[in-house]
Amino acid sequence: MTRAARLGMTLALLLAGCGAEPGAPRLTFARLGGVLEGVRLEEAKEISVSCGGRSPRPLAPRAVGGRLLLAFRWEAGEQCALRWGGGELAAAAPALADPVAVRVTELESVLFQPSAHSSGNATSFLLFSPSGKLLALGTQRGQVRVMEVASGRTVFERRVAEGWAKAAAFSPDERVLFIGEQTREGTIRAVDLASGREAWRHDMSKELGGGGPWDPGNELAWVEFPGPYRMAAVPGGDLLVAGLHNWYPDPKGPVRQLSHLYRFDGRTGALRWKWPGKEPAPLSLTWFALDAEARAAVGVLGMATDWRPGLPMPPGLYAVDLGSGRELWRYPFEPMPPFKSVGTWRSVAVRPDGGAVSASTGDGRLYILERGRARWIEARGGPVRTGGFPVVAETGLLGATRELAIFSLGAGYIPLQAAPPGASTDQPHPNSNTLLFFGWDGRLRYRWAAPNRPNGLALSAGGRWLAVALTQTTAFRREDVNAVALFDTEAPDGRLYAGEYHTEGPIPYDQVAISPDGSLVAVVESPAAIADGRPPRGKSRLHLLY
Amino acid sequence: MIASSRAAGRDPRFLAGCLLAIGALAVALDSIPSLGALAAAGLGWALAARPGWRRLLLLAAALGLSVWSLMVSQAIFYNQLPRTAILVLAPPDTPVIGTLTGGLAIYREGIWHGAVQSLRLVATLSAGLAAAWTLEPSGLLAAFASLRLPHALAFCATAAIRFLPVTVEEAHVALRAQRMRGLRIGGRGGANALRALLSIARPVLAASIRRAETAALAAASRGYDPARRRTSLRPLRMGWGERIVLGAALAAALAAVTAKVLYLLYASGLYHHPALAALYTFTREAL
Repeated sequence: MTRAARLGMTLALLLAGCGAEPGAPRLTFARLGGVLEGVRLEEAKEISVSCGGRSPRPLAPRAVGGRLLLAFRWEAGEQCALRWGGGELAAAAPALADPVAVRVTELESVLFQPSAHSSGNATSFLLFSPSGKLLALGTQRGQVRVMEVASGRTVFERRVAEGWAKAAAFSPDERVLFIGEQTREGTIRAVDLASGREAWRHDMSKELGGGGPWDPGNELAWVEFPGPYRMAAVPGGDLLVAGLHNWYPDPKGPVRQLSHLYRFDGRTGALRWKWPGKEPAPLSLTWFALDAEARAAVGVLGMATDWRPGLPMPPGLYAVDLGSGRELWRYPFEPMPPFKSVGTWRSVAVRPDGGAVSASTGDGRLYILERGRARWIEARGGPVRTGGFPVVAETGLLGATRELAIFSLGAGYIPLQAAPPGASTDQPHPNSNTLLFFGWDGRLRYRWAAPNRPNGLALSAGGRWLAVALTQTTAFRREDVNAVALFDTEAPDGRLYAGEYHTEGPIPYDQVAISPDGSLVAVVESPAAIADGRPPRGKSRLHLLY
Repeated sequence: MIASSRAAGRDPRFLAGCLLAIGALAVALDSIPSLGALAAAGLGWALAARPGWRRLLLLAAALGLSVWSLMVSQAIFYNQLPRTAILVLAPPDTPVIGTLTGGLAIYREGIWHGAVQSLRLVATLSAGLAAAWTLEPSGLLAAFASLRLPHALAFCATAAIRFLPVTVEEAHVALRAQRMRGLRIGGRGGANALRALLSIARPVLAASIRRAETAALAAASRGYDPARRRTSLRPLRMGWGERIVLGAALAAALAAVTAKVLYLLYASGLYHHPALAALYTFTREAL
């Protein structure tokens, strides 16, 4: 054999080998079953699965991202056999299955990238539609994109000019996307997804004022425009919006805050009611939570200026009847010394039956309330003295299931109102970077020390599956871990941790979503999230996990 | 002379208009793609003028040096974050220079920033050279006349440009004469250069005045009267192609400057109209 022939044969063998490997069927176990690769849906419309010697069970796979998602029960160490039309596969189940990536979308080609005049382009919202078939994504530079989960195809695109695409909500029938803009006008729009036609719009600046940043050309300053901080569609199709305008009328003066909770007719845009009824609340309504039947909304309202006794509307929790828009009860927060005001963020959750509410305040206190009265208060993230300054842990992310009140404690810091001028506010706190799962009686059921800062939290509709984004911070990084950790809140053995998926770059705040049935998790990785002087890590990517 | 300009297909008004448009765009544009397109247009114009090898080398040297110096200066003095040091020239603990500057390094992002900034220079320099290569000074008189400028002023400007090479040559002669008398320009710590400048100014000025008188007499003896209406043997007529290109260039420049002014008014909080929001975003991102 000549040298050329030998070389040709070697190359042919190599190419054949390289080509054959990816096509071979491969099963990766996942928490709800497994992901089958190398088999087309047409070949395996029905698959029978048998694990641990149990009788084979037929199941219909779901195709997402060119892979087949299978839902079946397995136990650690069991042998599982899969059979379909043209093939079969056997595999041993692992002790724990981490989430499996079914599609990773490079967002560089999808989104505008930061330019010399841009602060970045982090995503501002990420949400699944009620059926889990669509995924909507918005950015701080006003891009809105709706993608089909199964194919990754973009079905709707829109651009918000000079503002953030701040929040969004799908109508229950998924025909309409409600888009909330943080712009000079603070517009809420209802857009038909099929035609792109705008059904209605409402400018919140009419009620909350149209003042804005002193430098409107600065994208970072757009937070001073009026905008929707949370939107949710309720059964029947109406839309709830937490509108907040938070700005400095005078750059050297105090901040001004005006808030309303709105209920719109989802079809026509008619304003059914707004709370408070006449003048907006002089507080910051940053979040509200609903019970499963959407009978009442509990809003959390914070205060940026100094608290004083006798305020007609003090910072606190306010429950509003969703039928009438009337206030049901209020629970005022008073500042904890040495602080002079009460800050809040995404810090309220409602038990699905509506009978209890969990909340937290910026000074590190955690609350459980029943019918507007405090049942339990604990300052787990509360101030500890370091160098004479009070250090607290972030407490802005909460979740509620039938059995558990979930609190996420983030990085330690000195609140701005107590921070020494010019000094770093990042400080260690003994309870920072911890997830706490309390029973509604206030007893701690489960505690998880996170390897990094919890930066986002999403619960499936039934409350069983919890996804928590972990991301690196500018200070006190224990590890460079950027990940999504999953928890099964109904795990019978009490071991809630259900695996994690790592991303290369950081995950922006609140950019993790879980499909209503809990099967899919979406998370955005963005290298522009942290400006700590080091080269950005990772890329702008959307990870879809099973 | 006009004939040769026409033969080259370059109406002086077309050249002046294109230069104005490119200059305005170079000031108004900020984004990388738009500046890149402008630089490509300027460079394309220069190459379309079919310069000889010497001119091509001149263009390459002028652009190369400008781009290089901008990239080097930005690479060292880039102060935005994030920045990646690819070569440390002086660590922060280096005596004097390190302690004064906080350390010197070459930053990858700075090189890129310098390259982007130099696109303005590439555009204007290339366009300027292209115009100079294709413009006949005598064609200017017809161009000024078509723009209805006072003829006396137009005549003066054209004559000044026309005699510029002669004046330069005279300065060379005067300088050579000074050297033959023993002048060393670099001597006495640079003071000789000043002396040389003063000593050649007098003969050059005298020769210029003398030549201006001669030119004025020659014009007068041929019956030149600035107050009379003038005709041209070959009146300037811009071709359709030139008109379209010039119109598009001026329209683009006007649109970019208008958009930029509106955006600056908005960004400084002076004037805002909700209907212009999309224009503000386009200006910020595309221009």
